[in-house]
Amino acid sequence: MSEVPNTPRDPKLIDLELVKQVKIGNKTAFNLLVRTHQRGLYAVVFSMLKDHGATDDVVQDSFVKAYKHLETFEGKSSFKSWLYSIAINTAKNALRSESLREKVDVEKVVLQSTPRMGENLEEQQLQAVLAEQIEKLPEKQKMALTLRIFDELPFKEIAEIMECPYDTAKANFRHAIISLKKHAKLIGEV
Amino acid sequence: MSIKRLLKTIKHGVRVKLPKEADEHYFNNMEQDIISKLEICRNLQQCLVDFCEGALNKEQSDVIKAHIDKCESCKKEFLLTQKLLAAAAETNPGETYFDKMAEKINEKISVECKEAQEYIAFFYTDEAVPSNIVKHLKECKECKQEVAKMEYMLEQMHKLSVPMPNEKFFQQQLYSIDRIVETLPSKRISSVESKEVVGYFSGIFDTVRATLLQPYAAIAISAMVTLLVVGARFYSSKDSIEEKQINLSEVINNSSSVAKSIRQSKGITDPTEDERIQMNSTGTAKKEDKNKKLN
Repeated sequence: MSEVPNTPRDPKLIDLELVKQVKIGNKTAFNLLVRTHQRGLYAVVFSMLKDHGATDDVVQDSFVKAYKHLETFEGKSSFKSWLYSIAINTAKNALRSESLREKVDVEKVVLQSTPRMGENLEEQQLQAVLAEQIEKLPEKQKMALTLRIFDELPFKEIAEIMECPYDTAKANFRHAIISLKKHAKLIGEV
Repeated sequence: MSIKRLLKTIKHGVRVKLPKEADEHYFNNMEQDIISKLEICRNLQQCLVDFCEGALNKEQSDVIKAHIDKCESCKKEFLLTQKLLAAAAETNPGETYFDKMAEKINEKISVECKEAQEYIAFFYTDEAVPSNIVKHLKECKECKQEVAKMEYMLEQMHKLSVPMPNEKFFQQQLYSIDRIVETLPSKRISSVESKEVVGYFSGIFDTVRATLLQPYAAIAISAMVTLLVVGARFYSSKDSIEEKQINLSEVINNSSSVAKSIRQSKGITDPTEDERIQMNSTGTAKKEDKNKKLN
């Protein structure tokens, strides 16, 4: 098994180096890629499927698909955005399946606020309202918001993941925050 | 241009021999007179509305009266103001008009705020915002509050999270993925030879190499597999050709039976064998003629 050489600190470049290693037969490098993106991918997929079991399946499937089709990854985008787009498409397909649709409760609040020290009731209430309203956003807006706020991705990568133009990704995010601000206003606390 | 300079220009510009009295002192005085007159006129015209409405004291009114008598332009202004005030007194649009006007003004002000507030979200998508809007958002108290609200909302949103399973779950997931990947063929393709076919067969080569450890055996097996694949394809394609031929003959038979029924319905008898031969030969003859013509 060949060793993973010293790689630059930029996570994107580390990913590309790992991909190169996988392409020459180093399976440990792929293990490292899974470790790196496992949690982020889980969060994105779970925000779509709202079911732990289904999310686990989709995340595993996505990594396996990524491994199988690694030749098609040309490094034009970051590995992360390529992987996320695979996962999102897999999750979309899963959502189309009848069994999952029955399982998923759309109205169920997925995001949760993690209470921190010094956080007052007012803030907690607002977070609860926001979590509820995020779930009600149209799918594309929710996706752009999740990728921007929770994954802190640049709009270029969001556009690649969502397979839409750069300006559309931005517009989706903008509409999401405008709509959330309107609803947050309703409780009169913001 | 100052009046003094204007006067000097006139003096030097006209090139007329001026009398002794028209010295520097004379021009200075003239300038002062003109300036004070203009100053009086300006001040007076500002007081005309008060003067017409009788809102000035007697001393002030007397000064204005005296000036209006002497100054033509101020007299004109006075008469116009008087007329306008008389006309305005007769016009009364009613209180509702003024209420609406106040509303309209408020609306105009708030529209500006509304427009500016629509741009707040643009700050978070790194997009250009017109400078006048930025200025408004910085200066308007209400809009500044809206910006702060958006900031606060996003801050709260960052505190939200997807409920994550514990570390054990991720370790198990990693293990499962590893197991699946282990069963898959190793990539081992350099970027130069990453052709689809090579990638497809490399997995087979790996397994064979691991078991037999002899490269010629792998080559022999792959050759066998290739032969089998090619043979199977050839066999299936032969089948399909025969199938196509059967289908084609069926179509011909069908079409001739249809033609026969049409001929019978129109009262045309079927051609005899000799006639058919003749028809075929004339057909080929016609084709030959056509080819000749084309050539």
